[in-house]
Amino acid sequence: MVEPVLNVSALKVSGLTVHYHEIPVLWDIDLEIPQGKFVGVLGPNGAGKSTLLKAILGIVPTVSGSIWIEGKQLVEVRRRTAYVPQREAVDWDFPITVKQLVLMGRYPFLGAFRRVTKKDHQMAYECLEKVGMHEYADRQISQLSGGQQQRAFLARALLQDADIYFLDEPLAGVDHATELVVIELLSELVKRQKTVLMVHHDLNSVEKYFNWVVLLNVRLVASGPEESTFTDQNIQKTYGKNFALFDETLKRSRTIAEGYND
Amino acid sequence: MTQNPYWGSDFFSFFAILFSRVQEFFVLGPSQMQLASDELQLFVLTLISISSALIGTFLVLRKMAMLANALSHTILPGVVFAYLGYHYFYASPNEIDFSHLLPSDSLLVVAGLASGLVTAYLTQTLVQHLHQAEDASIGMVFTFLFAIGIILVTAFTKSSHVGAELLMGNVDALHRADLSLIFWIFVANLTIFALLWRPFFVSTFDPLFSSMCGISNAAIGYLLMGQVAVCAIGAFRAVGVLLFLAFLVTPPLIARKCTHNLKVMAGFACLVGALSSLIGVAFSRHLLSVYALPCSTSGLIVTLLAIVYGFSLAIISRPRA
Amino acid sequence: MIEFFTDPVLFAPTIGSMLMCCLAAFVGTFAVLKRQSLVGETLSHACYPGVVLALLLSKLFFEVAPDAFLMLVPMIGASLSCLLGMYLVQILTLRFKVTQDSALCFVLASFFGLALVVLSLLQSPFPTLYKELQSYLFGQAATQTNIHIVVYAILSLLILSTTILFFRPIKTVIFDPNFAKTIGINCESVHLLLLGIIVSSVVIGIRSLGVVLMSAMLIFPAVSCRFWTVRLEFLLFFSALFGTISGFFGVYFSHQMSMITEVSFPTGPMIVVIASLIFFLSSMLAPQKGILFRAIRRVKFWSQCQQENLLKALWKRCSQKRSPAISRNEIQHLFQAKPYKLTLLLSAIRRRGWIKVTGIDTYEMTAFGMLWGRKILRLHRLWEVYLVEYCGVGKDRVHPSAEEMEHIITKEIENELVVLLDDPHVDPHHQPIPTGEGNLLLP
Repeated sequence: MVEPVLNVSALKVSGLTVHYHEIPVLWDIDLEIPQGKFVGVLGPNGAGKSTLLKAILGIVPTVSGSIWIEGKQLVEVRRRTAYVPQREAVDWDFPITVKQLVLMGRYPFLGAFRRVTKKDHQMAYECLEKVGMHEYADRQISQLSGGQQQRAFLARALLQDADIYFLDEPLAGVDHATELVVIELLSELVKRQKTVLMVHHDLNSVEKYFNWVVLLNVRLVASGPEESTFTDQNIQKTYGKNFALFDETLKRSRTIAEGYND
Repeated sequence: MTQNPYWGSDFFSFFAILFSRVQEFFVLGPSQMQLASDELQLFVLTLISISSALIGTFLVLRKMAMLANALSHTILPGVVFAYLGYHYFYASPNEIDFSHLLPSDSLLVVAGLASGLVTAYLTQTLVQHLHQAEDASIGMVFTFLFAIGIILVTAFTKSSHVGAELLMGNVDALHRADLSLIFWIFVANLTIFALLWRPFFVSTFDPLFSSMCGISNAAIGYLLMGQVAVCAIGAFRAVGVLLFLAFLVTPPLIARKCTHNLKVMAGFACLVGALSSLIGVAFSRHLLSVYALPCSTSGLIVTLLAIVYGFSLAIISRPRA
Repeated sequence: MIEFFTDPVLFAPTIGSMLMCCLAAFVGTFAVLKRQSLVGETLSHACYPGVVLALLLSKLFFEVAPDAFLMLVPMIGASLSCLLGMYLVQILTLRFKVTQDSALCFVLASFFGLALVVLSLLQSPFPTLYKELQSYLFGQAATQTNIHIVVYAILSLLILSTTILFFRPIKTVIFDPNFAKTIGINCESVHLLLLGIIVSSVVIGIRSLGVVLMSAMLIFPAVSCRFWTVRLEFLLFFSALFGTISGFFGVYFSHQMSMITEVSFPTGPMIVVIASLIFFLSSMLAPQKGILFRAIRRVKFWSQCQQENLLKALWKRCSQKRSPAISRNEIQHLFQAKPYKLTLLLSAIRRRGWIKVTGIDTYEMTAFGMLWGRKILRLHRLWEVYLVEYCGVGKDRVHPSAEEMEHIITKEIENELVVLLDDPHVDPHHQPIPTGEGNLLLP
C-alpha cells in the first residue's frame, strides 16, 4: 500500500455546489483539511452533511466545484477512500452474512475476477475481531442490533485499509458500548495519520472526540481545529435562525431562476 | 410418424420412461434417438426456468419485478419493428404476414435487447427529467409502447389479433429450432453471471460501494434489462410473456425463504424452477393420459410454484432479530 | 363528430369508452397518489380465475340466464378474485417482508397461471364455454350495447357517490396521514375503501378496456392533471376530464383511420396514444410546471438580470460623469457583451423606459432609469454586505456567487437587510451604497 504523501491536504474542496431537484443543498463550499485529523461534520437537519460526503466521493452529481483528495482527483485515489453509509440507506433484508459483508472490503483490491483467498478471509476475520463481531460472522445482517450493524460496516471499512474514511452518522442510535468501540478504532486510525470525516449529531461529545470541526448549514459556516472553531458564536451561526434570510433568498432565487412561479 | 413414447403414461411411468430413454441416449448416442415432444417441452421449460431463476434473483433483489412486467409488454413493439425493418430492407416490402414464424432468431434477440434498453431508458428519462414516480413511469412507458405496437401491427397486417399466442404461448407447438435459441440464451446467461457475479452482487446490495469501486450501476441495470428482454423473447413462444414473469419471480422468492446466502439462493431458485418444470410436464402428461384432460403445462408449473411458495411461507419462519 | 353521439351504431361504443375511461381515470387518481400505479396491472390479471370460475359455475347451475345476469356474474367473480389477490399482496408485503413490486408480480402471474390451468381443463368437457371464455379473456374490447352503458353508468354513479360521501377522510388520509390518525380517522378503513373503489372500477372496466388500456387509463390522466393542480377535487375532476377526452378522441380517430385505411383499427391503442399526448402536452404547456412556460420564464429572468446589470453599469458611469448622457462606445467598454446582444439589451431597457435615444449611438438615462438604477445598485450592494459581513462569504467571491440572489431582492428583504446590517453606507469593495432617497445621480 502506498504511503500517503506528506504536506498535501487530505481533502481540498473548492466552490462546491450541489442541488437536489434544483434546490441548493450545498452552496459554494470551500474546505481544506490536513492529513491525520479526526473531523466532525456538524449542522442541523437538511444542512447537507451527508450530501457533502457523497459529493466528495462522487456519489451525487455536483453543479459546480472541484475536489482534491490527497492532491489528486477521485478516480485516481478511489482505493484510498472508504465510506460507511447511514443505516437507513442499507438493504438489511439482502441475503448476505456479516462475514460476506466485511469481505466486500477486499473487492476494490481484487477487482471483479480475482478469487477470494484464505488470506482475504483471514484479514476479514481480523477486522471482525477488532470490532468485536467475530461471533456473529454467519448471521444475516438483519439479525443484528443497530450497534452491531454499524460495527459490521466499520469492519468492512477497516478492511479496505484506506487513507481517508467517510462515515455518515455512525453513532446514531447505537448503544454506548458500540460508540466506545467505534471511537476507539477511529482514533487509532487517526493516530496512524489517517484522516476520518464523520457526520455527527451530538454537540456534547464534539470536544471529546474530534480535533477538527466542519460546521455546515447549506453554506460553510466554519472549518478548522476544534478548539478555535467550535465556539459558541459559530454554533449559533450554524444552528440559529440568523441565516433564515439567506436560506429563504437562496431558495427563492433558485426557484425563479428555474422558471417556476414564486 | 413415430409414436410419442410418453403417450398414455401416467405421472410415475413418465419418469420411468424418461430415465430409460436417458440411459438409451448414453448407450446409443444422439443419432439413434429422436427427441419426443414431451422431452422437447421438458428441455425448453427447464432451460427457460433456470435462466429466469438466475435473472429473477437479481430482479427481485433490485426491486425490478414490475419492470420485467413492463418489458413483457414492450417486446411486442420491439418484435414488430424488427419484423417491419426486416421486411422493408431484406424481403418484399409489400406482403407482411405475421402468421409465419419470424425470420431469424438473431433478429428476434436484437429486437428483444432493443426493447429492453429502450424501455429502461424511457423510464429513467421520465423519472429523472419529468420528475415522475417510478411506478407511474413504468406504467406510462409500457402502455404507450404496447399501443404503438398494436397500431403498427394493425396498419401493416390488416388485423390486430396479436393476442393469445403472445400472452399464453403454446408449449405444444414447439419445434427443435426453438430449443436451440433457448439453449444459447441459457448459455449466454450462465456466462454473464459467471463472469460478472461480483459486480452484479455488489451493485445490487450496495450501489454506493459499487460506484466507489468503479462499477457502473447503470450499466449493470441495463444489462439485466437486456437479459430479461432476451429471455422473454426466448420464452414467449413456450410459456407466453405473463407466465414468464412467474418463472422470474417465484423461484427466487421461494429460495429467499430458504437461505441467507446469495449464491445458494440463486442455485436453489434454479433447482426449484427446473424441478417444477419436470413435475409440471410429467403431471400434464398424467392428466392427459389418465383423465383425458389437456392442460396448460406452463400454467400448471406456475400454479405449482405458487403452491410451493405458499408452503414455504407457512412452514419456514424467519428468526426475529 | 356529432354523429358519434347520434348514430345508433356508434353511440354505444363511444359513450361506453368515454364512460369507462372517465371512471378509470377518476379512480386512477387515487392509485397514483397512493404510489400504487401498477396495482391496476395486477388486478386486471388477478380477476381472471374469478371470471373463469364464476362463468363455469353459472353455466353449471343456470342453463339460461338474462343478459344482465351474465354480465354481473363474471363481475362478481372478478371482484372476489381481485380482492383475494390484493389481500395476498398485503400479506406478502406486510407480514412476509416481500417488496411490493415482487408481490404484485407474483400475484399477477400466479393468478393468471391458475386461470389458464382451469381454462385449459375446461377445453374438453365444455368446448363452447371454453371458446366463450377464450374470447372473453383474450378478445378485443367487447361490443357494447345500450344495456351495458346503463349498467356501467349506474355502477359509476355508485362509485362517485361513495367518493363524495367519504371525501373528507379520503383527502386527509392521502395527503396528511399523521394528522388523520390524530383526529381519529381509521386509516386502514379508508385504504380499504379506496381499494374497494379501485377494484370495482377495474372489474367494471376490464371487459371493455382490456388490460393494457386499463393500466394506461389509471395512470396517464392522473399524472397529467398533476401538472395543472394540486388540490384533490381538481385532480379528480381534471383526471376524469382527460380520461373522457381520451376516450372520445380515441374512438373518433380509430374510426377515421379505419375509414381511411379500410382496416378495422382497434380503439384501445388509439385511446392510449391520445392519453399520452395529453400527458406530453401537459408536461410542456401547463402554466406552472410545464416545461415550455418554465423555459420562457427562465429566459425572461436571465434577460432581466442582464438588463439590470447593464443598468447598474450605466448608472455608475453616469454618476461618475455627473451626466445622464452616454455614448454607445462608452457602453461597449463598460459592459462586456457581443455587439448584437448589446443592441438587443439596449432596446429592451429602452422599452422599459430606463434610457432614451438622443442621437445616433448616443443615449440618455431617463429620470426613471436613474431612479431604478440607483435602487438596484443599492440593493445589490446591501446584499453583498450581508453576504460578506454577516454570512462570512469571502470578499473575492461575492460577485459570481451572489448573482442570482441579487436580482430577486424585494422591499421586505431590503428592509430586513437595513435593520440587520445597521444601514451601512459602504459595500465590501468600499463602494458607496446609495441611500434610500436623495439626488438621483448621487450615492
